[in-house]
Amino acid sequence: MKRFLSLALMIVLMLSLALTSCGRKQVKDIQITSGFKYEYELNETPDFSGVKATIVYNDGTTKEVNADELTFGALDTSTSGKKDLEISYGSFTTSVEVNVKSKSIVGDNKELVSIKYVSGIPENVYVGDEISFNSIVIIATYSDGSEETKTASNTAVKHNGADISTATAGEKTLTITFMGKSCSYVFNVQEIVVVGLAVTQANLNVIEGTEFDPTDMKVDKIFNNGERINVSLDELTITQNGNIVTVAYGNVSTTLTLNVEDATVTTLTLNTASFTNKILVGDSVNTSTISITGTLNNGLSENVPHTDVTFSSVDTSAPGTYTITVSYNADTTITASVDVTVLGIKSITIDASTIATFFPAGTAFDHSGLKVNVTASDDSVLLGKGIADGVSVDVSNLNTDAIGQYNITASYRGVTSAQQTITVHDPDLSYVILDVDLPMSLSSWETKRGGATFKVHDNPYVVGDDNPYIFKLTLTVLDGNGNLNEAFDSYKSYFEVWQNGAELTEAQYTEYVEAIDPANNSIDFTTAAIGQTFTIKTRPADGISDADAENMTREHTVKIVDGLNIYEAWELNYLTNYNDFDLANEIDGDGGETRTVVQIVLDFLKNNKGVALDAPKSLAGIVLHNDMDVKKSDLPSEFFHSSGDFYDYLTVFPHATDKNNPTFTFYGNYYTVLSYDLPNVVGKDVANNDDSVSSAQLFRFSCAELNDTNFRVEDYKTRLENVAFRDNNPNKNNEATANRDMLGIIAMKVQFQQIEVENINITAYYIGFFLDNDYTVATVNNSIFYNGYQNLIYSYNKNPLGEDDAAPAANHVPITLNITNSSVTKCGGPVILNQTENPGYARHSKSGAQVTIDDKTEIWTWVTGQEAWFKAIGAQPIATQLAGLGLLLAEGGMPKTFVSTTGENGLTGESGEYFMNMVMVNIVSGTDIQTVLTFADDLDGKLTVGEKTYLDMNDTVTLPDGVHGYGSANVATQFGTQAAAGKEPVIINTYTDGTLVIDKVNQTATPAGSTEAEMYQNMQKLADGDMVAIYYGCFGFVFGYQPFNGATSNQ
Amino acid sequence: MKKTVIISIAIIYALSIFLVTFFGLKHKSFNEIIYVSQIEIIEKNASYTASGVKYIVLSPDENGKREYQLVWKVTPEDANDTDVDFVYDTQKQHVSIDENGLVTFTASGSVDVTVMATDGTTVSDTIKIIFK
Repeated sequence: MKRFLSLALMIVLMLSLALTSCGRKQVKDIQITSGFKYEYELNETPDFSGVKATIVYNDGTTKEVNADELTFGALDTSTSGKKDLEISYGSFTTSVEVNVKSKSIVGDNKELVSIKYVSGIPENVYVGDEISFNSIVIIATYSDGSEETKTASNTAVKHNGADISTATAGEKTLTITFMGKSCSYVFNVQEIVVVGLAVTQANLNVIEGTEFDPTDMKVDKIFNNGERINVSLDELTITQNGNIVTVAYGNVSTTLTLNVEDATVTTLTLNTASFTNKILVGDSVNTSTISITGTLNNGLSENVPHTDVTFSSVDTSAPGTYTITVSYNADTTITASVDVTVLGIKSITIDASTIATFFPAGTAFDHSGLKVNVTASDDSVLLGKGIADGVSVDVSNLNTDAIGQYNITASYRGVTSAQQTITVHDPDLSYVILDVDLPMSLSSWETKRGGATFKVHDNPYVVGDDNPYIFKLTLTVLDGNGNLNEAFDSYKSYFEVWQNGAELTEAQYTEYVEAIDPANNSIDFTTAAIGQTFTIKTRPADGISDADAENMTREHTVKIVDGLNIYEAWELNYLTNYNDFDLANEIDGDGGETRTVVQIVLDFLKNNKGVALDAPKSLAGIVLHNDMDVKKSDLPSEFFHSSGDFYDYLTVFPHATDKNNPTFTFYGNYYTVLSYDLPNVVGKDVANNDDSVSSAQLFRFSCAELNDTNFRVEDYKTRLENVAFRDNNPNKNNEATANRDMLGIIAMKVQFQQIEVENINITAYYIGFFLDNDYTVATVNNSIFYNGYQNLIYSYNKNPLGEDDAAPAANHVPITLNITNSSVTKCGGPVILNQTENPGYARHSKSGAQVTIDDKTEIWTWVTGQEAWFKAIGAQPIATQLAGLGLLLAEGGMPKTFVSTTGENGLTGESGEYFMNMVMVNIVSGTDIQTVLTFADDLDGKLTVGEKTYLDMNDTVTLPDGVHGYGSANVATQFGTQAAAGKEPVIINTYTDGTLVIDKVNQTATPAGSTEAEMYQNMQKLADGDMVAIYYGCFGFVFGYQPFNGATSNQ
Repeated sequence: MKKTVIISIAIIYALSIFLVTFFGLKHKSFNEIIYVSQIEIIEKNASYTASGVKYIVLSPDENGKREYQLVWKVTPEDANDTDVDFVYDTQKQHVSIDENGLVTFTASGSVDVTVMATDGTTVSDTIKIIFK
């Protein structure tokens, strides 16, 4: 059967080959090359795994194949005999005959029944192990029951050991055959794995708190095959939990138990941030604020409680710096230290904020919370030592039931504080008076009286009797919180009036004191008190203790005069008592104004100042009690043009003596009237102003009775005393503002009466003291006129009486000026300028100012003739000519002249510049030189200084023939080189009788026909005296002589 | 003096008039007085009442001293006379001011002090000093 099948297969294969050979490679044969077993034992399991074969293709190619590419048929070895084994490659199959041998017959016809493995191969080996199969032992069991041990050395014992590899793990089956019998033995090839770790070296001693250090640790990994290999630390996972260290390698680990030693402190560190290292003598050192940190031998730190250390003690009884040593109790060699400074006490101060220092009478004073600030010896301040710290308080001086200021002190460790003031105030008042001051007007009075503004410094303070005198102290008042009461203003005064060291009697009070008004802080004197001197004592009536009454009392000695007391600048309007100016006419374009100046002022007082008067006050005097800084708001707005400037010709404060008050005194009390904030007058062609110079003034003191038939100058008098007037229009060479400065207001004009000026000062006005009109007799004594823009004194003779050839009035008095003990210095033009209008009228009346100056009066100015005023009026050329004349005298060998190259305070002029002390100029009226030179007639005027008359242009002087007065018909030509056809005398006169010295007409120095002796004599007269007068055309000039210092005219 | 000399003088006079008139005076010099225009007491911690009174409230120092140094400024700096006077109520027993403007109290209280120009302008400034 089997043979038939095999044949069938072959046919199929051949057909397959035939079918597939059409154009394709086909397997032709399978040839076994190796590994095939052709004979088997009964029941032997065939193993074809090692078979190798060659595939032969029909095209002659071959291919080597292994068993796994072949397919082997079944082989039955249970019976003996020849068997055909089919072997296929793909679809090609072939067969191979194999023989299965019959029963094994061994020796005595016993049959081998079986074999059994006994030993020789370990049950478990490891991958890679080499196995020796030579030790295999089997037991053969025979059919007779006998057994024999066989070893692998027996050649009949076969095994497949060579085919078993230990390269991979797993079960391996060893098949052993013997005499046709086989057995198998299964053994394990095991993977070699690490089954354990062995730490061969490690430092197991650690300090508490530190971690195990594996650095020097050595570890072996133990394999399941017993081998050990050192493993590197980075292959290990080392963890520590407490004193147990786990060393792991993969999932194999071992543990180590550490020996933990306690950590110990090695150093101490003190944290002294909160420690008070400066204490006072006697204080205890507080070490509780020191925190201590111990550094351990494990590198860590921990807080060291104070119980573990000991602080050394410090004796604080003496100042000094001491060291506190902190020792660690467990090891006293471990220490730290800190310094503490013990300071002495320099001083203590009560902290006023910790106690009540201001409270009403009847309140208990609680000082339990009082604290002092201690200044230590190093000037540091320790704040807030209180009663609990040993501070004691001395309040023995304090009476809380009585109004007053009291002093308490505190003491601490032997040092007493400065006094602390406690103020106990009136419980009915919400304030307490801390202190009082004289009003600043009085405090400054002594300073002003003694200053350089005035010549006389000891005149008394005067008070007028017309109205109450306000003597109000300035109070510094604290409110209930001890803060300045800023709103406090009114208080009641207490007054006493004393005289000759005693308070007035009741009868004297009745006689001299009209009224005392405590609420208004004023005292009113009667007319009977005029001329008397009293001492007024005043203090606050309420709010001060008896103890403070003396400290808060102020005294003021006054002399009573007939006058009105004024305190503010607007009150100067009370002076206005006549209509000096036709304001209605001047208000150009405004229209509608019909009121007089008096009415305008009365309306101003009523509407703006709440003072209702039906008529001007009738005043015998006015008394200043403060500086009067006059501002526009102090004046009626009607005084000002819409441009803001004054109307020209306006008098701001006009006052006239009259029959009711033929004498008037302006009592300045050493105060100053300031006009800093007042404007100039309007310019030319504005509001009817027809010129470029001001004719407006701050004051005019006139007389209302001039036109009275029986008017006599000597019956009326205005007096000014102890007062300064100050403007801001001083002598300055500002050409740019020259024309504007010519429009400054005049300080005062005086007229038609006697004017007495005693100890006054006029400084920095456009013109200071203006004598306006004949019938004005002025005496100036102990006064200072200084630094004026134009002139310090100006007189203007208007000749209101007399027509051409009319005889002067019987009571006619020319302007007369007498200056004694005064200082009249520095201005931008002649010190005194006398101007006469219509001198022709003076033919029969004395025109021209009659000026007398004593030899105690200082009078000078230093001008070059180029100052702004000279330029403003075009007077430079004549000044130039005058300087040239002065040089001429110098070159003529005169011992002195009136030109110099040095001026005020040694001021040195530039090359070609000459200074002249132009004391006085006497000219006819006009605002510019060219105009004035057209006047042709007489001009009077005289200047006497001491015993010497330097200028005398009065008609009483005998004039040279052909010279009628000092005018010239053609004086305009004097400025040219052409000789005039008219009279052109130039007379230089000094302390003489009008001798002609230089005759310009005849071009001779002396009148023609003079002998040489006469010439010499005339020239010598020029050297007499301290001044020289030059009659030049219609002008009279007076210059002060000064040393000539060699300058020549051709420089 | 000889006639020829006199004539010479007269001729020189005429020439000088011509020369000075023609060439004029070359320069002008001046000695203008610069007055004080403002005095200010400098006190950055000063307070002011509604009426404009300048004041300062002080406490004694740690040694109990009550001293205050006035500081002031005179404008312009080139004024001819920059000296000042210290004006205060000299009837007070517990306050004094020295020539340098150091104000000294011997007890608590107050003082109004005016620093005043001495050039006659009356320019001044005032401060109330209060020592508690």
